[in-house]
Amino acid sequence: MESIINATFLVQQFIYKEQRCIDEKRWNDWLDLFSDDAEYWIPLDNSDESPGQSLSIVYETKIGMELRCRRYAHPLLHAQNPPSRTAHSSANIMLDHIDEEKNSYVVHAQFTMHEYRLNTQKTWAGNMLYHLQKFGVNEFKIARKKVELIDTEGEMETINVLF
Amino acid sequence: MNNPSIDPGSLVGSAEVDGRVYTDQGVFNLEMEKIFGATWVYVGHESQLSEPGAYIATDIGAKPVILVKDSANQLRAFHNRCPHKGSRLVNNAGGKMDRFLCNFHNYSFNLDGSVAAIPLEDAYENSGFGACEKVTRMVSVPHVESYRGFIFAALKQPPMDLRSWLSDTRASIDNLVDRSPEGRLEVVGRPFKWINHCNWKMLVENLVDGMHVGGTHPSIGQTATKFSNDLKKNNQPASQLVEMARSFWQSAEWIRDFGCTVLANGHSYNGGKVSIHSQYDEIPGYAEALKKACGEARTNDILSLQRHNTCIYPNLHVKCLIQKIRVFKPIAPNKTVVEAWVFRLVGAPDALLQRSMEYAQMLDSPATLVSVDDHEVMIRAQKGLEGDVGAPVSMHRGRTRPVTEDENGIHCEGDSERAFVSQYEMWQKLMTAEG
Repeated sequence: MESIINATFLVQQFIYKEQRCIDEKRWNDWLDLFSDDAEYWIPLDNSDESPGQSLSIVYETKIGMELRCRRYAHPLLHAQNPPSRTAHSSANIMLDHIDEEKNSYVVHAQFTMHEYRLNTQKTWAGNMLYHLQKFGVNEFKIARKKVELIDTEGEMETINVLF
Repeated sequence: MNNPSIDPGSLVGSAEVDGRVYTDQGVFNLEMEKIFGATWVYVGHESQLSEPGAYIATDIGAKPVILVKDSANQLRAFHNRCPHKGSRLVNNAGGKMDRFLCNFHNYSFNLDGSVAAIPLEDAYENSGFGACEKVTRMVSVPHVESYRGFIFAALKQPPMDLRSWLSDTRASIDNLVDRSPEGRLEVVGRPFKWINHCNWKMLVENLVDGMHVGGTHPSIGQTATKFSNDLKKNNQPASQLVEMARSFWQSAEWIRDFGCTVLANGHSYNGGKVSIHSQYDEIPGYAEALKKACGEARTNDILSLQRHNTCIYPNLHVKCLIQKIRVFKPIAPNKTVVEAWVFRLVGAPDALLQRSMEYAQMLDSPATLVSVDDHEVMIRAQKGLEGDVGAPVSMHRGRTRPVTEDENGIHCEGDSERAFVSQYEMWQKLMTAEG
């Protein structure tokens, strides 16, 4: 029991850290939290079991994520001039599965993200499913992150910042 | 209500257009009636309607419509409303059903639009009900035709038959279909539906606006070019995504040579001999599959046609080299929903579809790496035009530059604005048509 509480605490702190990197636009720090073969997936159809069956809102390997992050540094990224300000909150963090031998965790969480830009505030919400790889004493890398937005069936506003 | 104070015939000059065509609610309402309500509008693909009972719901301008294959496998189109009280009958984007059931009073209708059942029908005896067909049948959309799987509908008598209307954009649709070794396309899954806060015509113009690349796309084009070079320098494998993204950085001279062809009826395409997609790696096994199906000479003909964007007026964008389309659905003067659909080329390797999807994710997703910048500059254009100063928008660029003309169209330089001029000629013709 104690080890589960401890593991849950560490995972929570890790997710808070990840979300904070996005809110603070520390893109390189954010990328560092992902393993080299990581995937970031936001399905368009949340019933898809794997990416590549139909369109995804985002389906990127680390190269794609890096392209996205490098682009934020470009002075002529019109869509982020001025930049969005975001506030993430993560909640309902649960360890769905722990594989002690492989040091891997499957974690379910929910988030809301408020985004403000140019007189408009938007709210984003959904589930996040993390596949985490533990290394060292208390460190993690994200091997896979899947975000199921609640509004993918509808007409969607621009997603300037990931979740 | 339409604004009677603006005469649509007075808004378009030979090389300039009044900014209110993008901003005025009265003009927008008239467009819904005179353009979207009076000519061929793309409504769906036959692969979405593969068997009796299969249906899709969409909009023609402001009018919700249903397309359905009836029990005789005939394609039909109806207004999406119950003839009883006007309630919307179909509330999903698509699916399959035996008959239409209105959840308001349980009236149901056959797939041919006739009444299937009305509870306690004897209540209508000698009531006069039935004297008017419009209250006893679902109201049909009168004109529905398909060209090689692409279904178009018109809410009233269109200016000409579909084939004539499409003019040489038929060659683009042909090329897209012919790229399938089996000559068939299949829609893959759901479309992106991305809200753009600008007028629909800005998005249509953008397809053939070669000169926007230099101002709009440095963030993705330059970033990806540098990234690609960094990968090479570090002996890392090239990335398909990064290579596709870097193709958005082209010199103005390259774009001039790339060309733009003005076709009849407001349609146009750019590229033709070359596209920014021409530089992509070949998909292993694809050319072989096509050769096996139709021979080497025909394969070379099909693959050497490099039409980049084809604009089918008023609101369809066809991409042959990346097998996808976009539909610009007008919602308000300053709001358009951009729907993007990807096709599987039946008989082609899956890697081709995966590439088309990766491209669409890069370009058409609400989280796009590219079109966010188009959207942002179009929002700024919308805002700028809303502050109407009585000065028109210019379309003079390329007006006196050399062109060549043949039976299909006028071949201009890729930085020319003549395609816009032709769009507004058709716009004015439709907007001022009688009836």
